[in-house]
Amino acid sequence: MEIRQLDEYRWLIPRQGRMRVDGLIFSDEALMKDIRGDEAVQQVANVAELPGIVGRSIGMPDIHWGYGFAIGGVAAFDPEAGGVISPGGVGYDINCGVRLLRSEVNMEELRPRLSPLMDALHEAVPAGVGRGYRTFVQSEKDVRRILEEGASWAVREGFGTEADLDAIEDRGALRGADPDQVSERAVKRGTDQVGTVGSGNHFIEVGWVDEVYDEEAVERLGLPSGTVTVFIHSGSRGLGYQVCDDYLELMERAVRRYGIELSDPQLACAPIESEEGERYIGAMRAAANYAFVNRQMMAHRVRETFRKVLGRSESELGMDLVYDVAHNIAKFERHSLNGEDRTVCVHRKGATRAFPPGHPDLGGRFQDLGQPVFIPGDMGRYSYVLLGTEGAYQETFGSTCHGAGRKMSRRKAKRASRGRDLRRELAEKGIQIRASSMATVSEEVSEAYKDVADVVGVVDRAGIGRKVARLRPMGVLKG
Amino acid sequence: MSGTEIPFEGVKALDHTADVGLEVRAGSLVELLRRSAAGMTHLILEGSPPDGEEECVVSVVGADPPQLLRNWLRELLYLHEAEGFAYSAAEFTTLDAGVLEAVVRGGADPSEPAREIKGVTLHGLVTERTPEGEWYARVIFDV
Repeated sequence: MEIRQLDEYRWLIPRQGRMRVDGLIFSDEALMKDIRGDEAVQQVANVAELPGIVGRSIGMPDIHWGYGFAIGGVAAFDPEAGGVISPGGVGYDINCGVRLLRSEVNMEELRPRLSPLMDALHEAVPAGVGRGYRTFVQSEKDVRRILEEGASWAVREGFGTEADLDAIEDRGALRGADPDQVSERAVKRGTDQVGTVGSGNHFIEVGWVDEVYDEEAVERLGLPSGTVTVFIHSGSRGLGYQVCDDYLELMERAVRRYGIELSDPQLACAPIESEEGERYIGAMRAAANYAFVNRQMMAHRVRETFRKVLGRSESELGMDLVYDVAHNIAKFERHSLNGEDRTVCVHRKGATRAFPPGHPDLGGRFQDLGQPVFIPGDMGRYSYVLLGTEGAYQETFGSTCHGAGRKMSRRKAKRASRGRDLRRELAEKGIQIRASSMATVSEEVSEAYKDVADVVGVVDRAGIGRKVARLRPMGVLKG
Repeated sequence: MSGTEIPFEGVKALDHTADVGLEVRAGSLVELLRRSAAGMTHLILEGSPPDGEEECVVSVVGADPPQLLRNWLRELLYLHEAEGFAYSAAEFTTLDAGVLEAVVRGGADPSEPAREIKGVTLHGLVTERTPEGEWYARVIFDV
């Protein structure tokens, strides 16, 4: 595979073979060594072969080998040019995403109460792969309402505020969601998982702002130095996985029906303007709405737990939602293509929307600031808050990276963790961990990931995201 | 991808940067299906499957061996995720012309599963008879 370095942070995969457009990977020389070490580059090229792709097939600096699309991939498709929608370009965990809560609590104040707080969070928010949690949702009928209404359902039921909705992409409800396209199996799986973390790389992390790069922006976002924060990282749980699985089967048939050639069958897709495409889009949006609610319900539990453990009122705690981003999703957006304004379907598979100041899709609070973007690192180091930029809008369909990106397989990570007391290692760094399974913790050990500072450094210097603050973990709840 | 032994004859776990996979070898398609199911259950439980007494009937179709294997695993994964039913063994009553019917034995998870498998992907999926006459499968799971 031919790769040409364009500048310090851009690597071009020139159109070759069946590629319809070039590929472009954002990376520096050091990260590129890891990226070249697996199948990610080939996967960026495979995506470039899909019908109706426009611009470039893009890879972020946290890119790594996925299935179909690489994780850290962005691609846009023009519906009017036969563009396709691919469940593999969204992923099994539809609308996996991150939200950040801020607070009026300082990290020094919290430190003495951290242990009971983490115990209480572990008690209050189910984490892990278990089933049978029917606290918020009693019936499949409730799930159907969630699929249609998204986060506004949660607010109406008393689990949040209107201000929360202003700080969620699309106010937590994608228009055009079609619950009728979601199977009974998916709804059944979703009924007892509303408000649950799940397993794998999902987490709730209590942290604090330890470094500030833009004083004005952190003031606006309520994140001055020392502020206690809470990250919530999860998605649409079993419901989303089932939607993806159901529609992959349909898309396999669509590929044959529409004569689409694929280098990887996991890229199975259908024209956006086809019955199969429309059905998937309706189901995917419904699953995305479920994920917004899932994170909203966890945020409710987190706020409640802080109140109980710290003995402070809601207004004293000031646990406002800074923002909620999706990083596994496909959305219809307006972008400029060769000087012409077009509506395209942007797939972000392990990539975050990063709209610039002035973008009409941003709520009033963020109009002059740009969209907040959250880039969690591994559980032992740090995470970043960024803002969207004009550079991202021009070069990457308004997208940036989504995390540190794995560099070690789960089995290798486990081998690297063997014989170590990870709980104690983290405690020595001032980080308390609560986990349903230490097997998950060992797979998620810090060194399994790239240093997120390197990843964020690339997007910041390449101009597809702007660093605002760095957060340090002090308590992590894992599945 | 480099293989790692897991404790079932003919089954290896594959290293993948973000996900997990299996490489399975067997003398027949029936045995390949059994070993793949046991391997997937091992990945979920990080231990041996339960010696369950419950039985259920699984019926799937697949136009070719890869699709048949994938649909078999998808069905078992659904049973685990939705019903908490972990695979232990299977007797195949039909395995012909793309139709698979089996009586599956299993039971409740012996403990909290160690890993959540989100899906049985099509990425790199192989199910074939080798020139030496054995059956070989490779499957990647999203976790």
